Amino acid sequence: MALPSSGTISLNEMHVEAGGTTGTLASINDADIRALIGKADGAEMSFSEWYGASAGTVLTVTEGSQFFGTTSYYGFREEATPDIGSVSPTSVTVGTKSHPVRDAYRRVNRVDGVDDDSTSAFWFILYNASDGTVPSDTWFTSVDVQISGGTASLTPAEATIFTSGSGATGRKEWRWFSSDFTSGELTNFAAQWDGSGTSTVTINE
Amino acid sequence: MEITLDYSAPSEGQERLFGTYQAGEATGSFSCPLLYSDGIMDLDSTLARTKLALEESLAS
Repeated sequence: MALPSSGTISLNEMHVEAGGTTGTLASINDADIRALIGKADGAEMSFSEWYGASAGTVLTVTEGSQFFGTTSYYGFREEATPDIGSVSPTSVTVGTKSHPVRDAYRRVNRVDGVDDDSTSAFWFILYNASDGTVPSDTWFTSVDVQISGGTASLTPAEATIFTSGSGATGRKEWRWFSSDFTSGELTNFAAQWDGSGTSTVTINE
Repeated sequence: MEITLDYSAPSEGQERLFGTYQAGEATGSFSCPLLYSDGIMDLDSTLARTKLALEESLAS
């Protein structure tokens, strides 16, 4: 639940929103609390920035991998049979509707069996709700993709978005190209999304 | 695979392109950032990038 949009906000509310335990020690400069409003260590912040701040929805992707002749995929792919990897939770709530997560993965070009990590792209795909409701292109403000040592923040404005099908099996795809990452992020993206372990995708609204 | 994009001609300064696509049997809609080079809209590159993304989506 997001912090209040007006009135008084306590440090304890910030701490709980960030995933802390109520009544336990916290500082406004703790990394998890600062992350609610995207601030760096010691950065200036105003009281108003905390209104409506939210920890976002965290998807934990247990990574799998899939290889084709010229393409590699790392992450979760429900579109594969059987699924490649897994995701938890398996759906996200947009407004009042639940949308199953179809895919969240890094796609990379593969040449002679070797990934060209400079081509890494991120795909995030949701199914429509069970009643066929299609999520809007901009229902989130950013998606923070875990990369080695940090996160890469991706916005709907940067995304190429496709909508296809209808009813509950219709879907919407957000795709970010390698050019939406810095070179350093691409290196750390490849290091994190390598088909092993878990990686997080935080959806901020 | 032949991909056809149908869209309204964008205006200079417009940030995104909206339209529909047909790729073989597959149809749908798209929205993508318009690419600019030295401040000039690069519609060809925008369309090429969108088609590439579609190809990759449909091939996966």
